[in-house]
Amino acid sequence: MSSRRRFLRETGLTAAALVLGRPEGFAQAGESAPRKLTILHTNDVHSRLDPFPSDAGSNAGRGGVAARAALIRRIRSEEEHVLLLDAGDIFQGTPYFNMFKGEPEIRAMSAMGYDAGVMGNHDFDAGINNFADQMAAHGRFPIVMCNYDFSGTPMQDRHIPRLIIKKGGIRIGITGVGIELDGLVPEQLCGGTRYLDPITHAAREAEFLKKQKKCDLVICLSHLGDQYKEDKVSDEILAQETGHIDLIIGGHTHRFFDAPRTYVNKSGGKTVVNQVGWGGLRLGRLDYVFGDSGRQRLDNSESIRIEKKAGD
Amino acid sequence: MRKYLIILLFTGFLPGCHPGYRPTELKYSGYNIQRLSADSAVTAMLRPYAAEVSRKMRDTVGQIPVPIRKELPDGALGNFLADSYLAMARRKFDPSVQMAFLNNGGIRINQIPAGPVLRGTIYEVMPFDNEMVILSVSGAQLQAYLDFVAAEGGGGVAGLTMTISGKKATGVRVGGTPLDPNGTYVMANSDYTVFSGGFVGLKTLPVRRTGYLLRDATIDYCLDFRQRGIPVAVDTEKRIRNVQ
Repeated sequence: MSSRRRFLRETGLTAAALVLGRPEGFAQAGESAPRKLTILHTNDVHSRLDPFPSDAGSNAGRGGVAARAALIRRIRSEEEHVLLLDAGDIFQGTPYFNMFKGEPEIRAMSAMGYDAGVMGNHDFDAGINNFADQMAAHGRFPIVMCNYDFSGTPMQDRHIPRLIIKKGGIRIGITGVGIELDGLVPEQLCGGTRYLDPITHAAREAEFLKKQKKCDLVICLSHLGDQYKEDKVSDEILAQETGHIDLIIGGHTHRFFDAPRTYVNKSGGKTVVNQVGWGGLRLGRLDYVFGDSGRQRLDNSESIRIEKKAGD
Repeated sequence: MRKYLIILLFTGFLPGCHPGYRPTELKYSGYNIQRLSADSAVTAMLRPYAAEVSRKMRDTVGQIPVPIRKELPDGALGNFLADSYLAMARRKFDPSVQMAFLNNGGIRINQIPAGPVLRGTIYEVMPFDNEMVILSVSGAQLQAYLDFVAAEGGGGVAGLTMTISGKKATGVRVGGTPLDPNGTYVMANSDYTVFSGGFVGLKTLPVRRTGYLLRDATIDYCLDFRQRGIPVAVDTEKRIRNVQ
């Protein structure tokens, strides 16, 4: 409970620092100067703290948290407003996890300044208590999830269903969804977590963030997987069956996207999905430019232009 | 100061004050993470953990004679893992065990190159603390389970051969003999597959829990070859085929 208070206090202070540090968000309100936001993201890092070993074929020498941290530091020095997100499966895959149960993984993410994450199925692998304990001891970022009912579990007080971050005057709403646990995660590791329908819950959160909380961009972190041949909920379905999610940062299926995928959502707007493989081999980057939508916001009716960034 | 901060916080989050913006442009890119530069703080944080991993995980457990890969419907890496479970199940628990399995999703790296294989590599190929379980099944139950394996596209098997046709297991032979629907078979499998995975048909059967981790079975299997001074036996023959 004291850790929860600490968490709330810390996020409160972060919010205060953001507001104090970015007074232009108010001073320039109403001006039409372009506002920029850089989103960096990972998924399915699977305890790859070191670069891949020399016997890993084409992956040898790639990845590793020290190189990723250096890259993120460089981008932060070049861009004023950076958001760093992860779509789950932080844990499991190297002896680090067998020996230390996720402690160095969470410490590394905290050091890199992750803004939010979501739980993947493998984040349960040493038990839900372990994940909650590691986050309590070493996590300096929130776990955002709206479709796991954690009542009575140690994650009850260690997750939030939504988060609002303000960067350079832009309000960003974030929610998160996890995959069906039955048939995937052993029951004793879930500690009674109940999986709820991700579509209805994410749709509700996204609408709340966009309509009630006036967020300019709504992001859903997802560990559902990008798409399936069989009839199974995925990011592709989440994108099309909800109306207010602008961006889905995906994971689980370990897919390296060449380009983000775009779907028409239920509001007739565009929902973008991106995923960057696994193992910390890649860092995704999405650079948004925002225009002034004025008082009469036409929800999603105006189209966003999406293109590859020159030089990359 | 405190009051000022609170007022600022409050107005900052008052929706009414927000002018509203919309994303007009999105440029996508990304980076391959390369070891060009390393963050010194993160490196320093990681150092004691890395030293401990290195101390415990860098011993050679055996020699792999040829490169072995994870493949569907099956590959030499899956054969090797399933062989290790079958051999160790027979040796340690029950000589009557006829077959062993590992679901394809449970194989977590794509290849082991020829040469010395480290303890840490066996951890990476099987990071889960999955336990070996042994159970008796009827021929009909085995067929249903193999149909599930077939629908999944294949996986690691030892002790049997089969052909996948229309997502079903056909021409199943156990130890060279065609599967008898009325027969009884003894299998070694993962507690994950039996109790938690996507197939429900084994969940209610009586099961012998061994408390022996599948990963340890593979390590012990390799160490046995090492003690005898020979490379680990690796079978590159297909045990599961897709119908042509």
